[in-house]
Amino acid sequence: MSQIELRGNFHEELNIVSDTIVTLAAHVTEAIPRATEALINNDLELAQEVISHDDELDLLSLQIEERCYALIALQQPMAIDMRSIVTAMKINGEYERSGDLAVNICKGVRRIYGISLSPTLRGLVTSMGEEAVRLTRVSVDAYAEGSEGLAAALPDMDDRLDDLQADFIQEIFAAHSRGELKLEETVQLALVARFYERIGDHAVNIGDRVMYMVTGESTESAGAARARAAQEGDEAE
Amino acid sequence: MWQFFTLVLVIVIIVLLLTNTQRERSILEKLKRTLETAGDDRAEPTSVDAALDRLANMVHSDESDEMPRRVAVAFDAMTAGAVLVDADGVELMRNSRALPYATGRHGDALIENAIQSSIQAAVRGETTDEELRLHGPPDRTLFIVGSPLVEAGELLGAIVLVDDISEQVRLDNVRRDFVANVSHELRTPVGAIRLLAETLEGENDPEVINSFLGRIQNESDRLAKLVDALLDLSRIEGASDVEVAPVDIGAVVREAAAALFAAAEKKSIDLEVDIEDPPMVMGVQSQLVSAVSNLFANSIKFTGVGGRVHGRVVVHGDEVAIAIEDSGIGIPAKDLDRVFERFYRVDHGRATDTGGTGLGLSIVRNVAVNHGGRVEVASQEGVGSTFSIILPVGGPDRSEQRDIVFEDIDE
Repeated sequence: MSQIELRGNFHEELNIVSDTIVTLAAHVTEAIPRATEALINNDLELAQEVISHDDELDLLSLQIEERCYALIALQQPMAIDMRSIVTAMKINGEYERSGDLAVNICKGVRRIYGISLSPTLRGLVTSMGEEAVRLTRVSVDAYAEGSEGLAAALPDMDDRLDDLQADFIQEIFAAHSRGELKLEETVQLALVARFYERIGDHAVNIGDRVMYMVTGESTESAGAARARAAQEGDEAE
Repeated sequence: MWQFFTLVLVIVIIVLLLTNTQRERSILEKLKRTLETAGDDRAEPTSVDAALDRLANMVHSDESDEMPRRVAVAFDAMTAGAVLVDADGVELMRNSRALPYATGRHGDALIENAIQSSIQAAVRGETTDEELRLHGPPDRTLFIVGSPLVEAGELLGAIVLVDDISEQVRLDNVRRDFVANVSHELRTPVGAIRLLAETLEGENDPEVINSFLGRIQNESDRLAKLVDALLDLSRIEGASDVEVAPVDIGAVVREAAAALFAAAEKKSIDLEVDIEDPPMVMGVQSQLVSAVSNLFANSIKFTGVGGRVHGRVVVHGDEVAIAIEDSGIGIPAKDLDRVFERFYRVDHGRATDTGGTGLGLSIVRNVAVNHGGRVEVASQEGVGSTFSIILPVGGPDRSEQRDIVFEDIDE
């Protein structure tokens, strides 16, 4: 088999990986509004559906991972090809985790079953769900289109979700102090808000990975930057 | 022997160039594959004969010319998405309705996923049907059917049809809820009256009798209000040849608000009206006042003590918007599209507190539509709602100044 044919096969395989990631992400973007609906309507059946469906997401994620391993082992890719595979493997994990977070929201629905959320809380839950879906969708678009612009927009979009989470936490504590929510319910709802916020963080991570795929430059986290500065300081001494 | 095969291949290519349709191409591709393996002992000679027969039929019949093209165009014009595959599951044709799914993301990627599952089952000979609900947004429901294509016991391939039934599902829900709601609304006061009357039968204490009679009176009033509202609605929906006249929108809003200041005051709600240079519209003043009053009354109903209700008239180009904004409990996102349906209740619990008929917003929508306009709502739970009646300045048709034709806009 010639070198050109080999590369042709490689890119076909890579396209399959990217298509499967788009499908995995579509399952996640669908799981989030389902979880939100289950939470707002106290719908245990829908919550169970989301929980059961997660197995399919796990299988897809495993298939993506195995395909990536095979590509690295058989094709020894370099440069953009290598970055594409590494990105696929990394964001595969991020989507799989986001799916798990939607499942966690549904498990929360079971734990707080029967409580009636105030209109303010319902409004905040709806908004958090919408923002989480929006972020996840933009992250898929950024990946599928290899768009730096879309990837760069994600952190700012995530700020809105963070603000909503802060408002929600404040509101549930206020509801608890007014005696409208029990302590266990307050804790569960705080966790649910945290799950939405984490879905946003995963979307931002995906954006960072897309930037790396397109430009070859990694985004350094604040912690990593501090550690690097400390190491460089030690060396200078 | 090989010369014969070469000749057949030439015919194949000629037919391919002449017809240039997907169907022939797929059949001919198959034939080509069969011919390529013809020298192989493992290949069945009968499959070559069968393929040649089919080719001969196609070349000599009328179908080789216009028919396949017509079929291909009809396939593409179908309102449902359709995907045709051969017996191995290899895609032969996909109509334009199903095309976006193949490369789609988000919901479309899940539809494609379902199509592929149906294909796999259909080429195993299984017929499948699945209702796929996508939460979106937008909320969509699709019906996906996969069928194997079998002729004389031979599997020729399979077809998968994707029908978007979102609108049908929405209408089904509207109808189901309407019947459930109207029976609930009528049954509640009737049931209460019957119970109160039964209890009264053996009662001698005049104080209790008076209290029960008062409650019977209240329930009868509620029933009468409901029947009146139903009649109003049917009048607005069904009436024709109503005289229209120039109506001052400012006067409409002021009149509607004036009737509700007392109700607002009772809940210490700050009811404000802000009208600057209101335009004239062609319409029926009494209907417009009734629609705007309904919006004010609703806002006051669903706004807590000490809240705020603000009515504004804003002109945008050749449209005028009457917007009523409140700081009330808001409407859940999932109910926003449905609040204008007759008897639709966002939440039965909170609706019974307010004693409404469940027809107010439906009347508002009908009035707006009959005046050539529309209604819009924006809301967030816990923050508030804004309802707007948007009307064309000068009425639905200024030039003719004709009577408004009241159409039946039943859901």
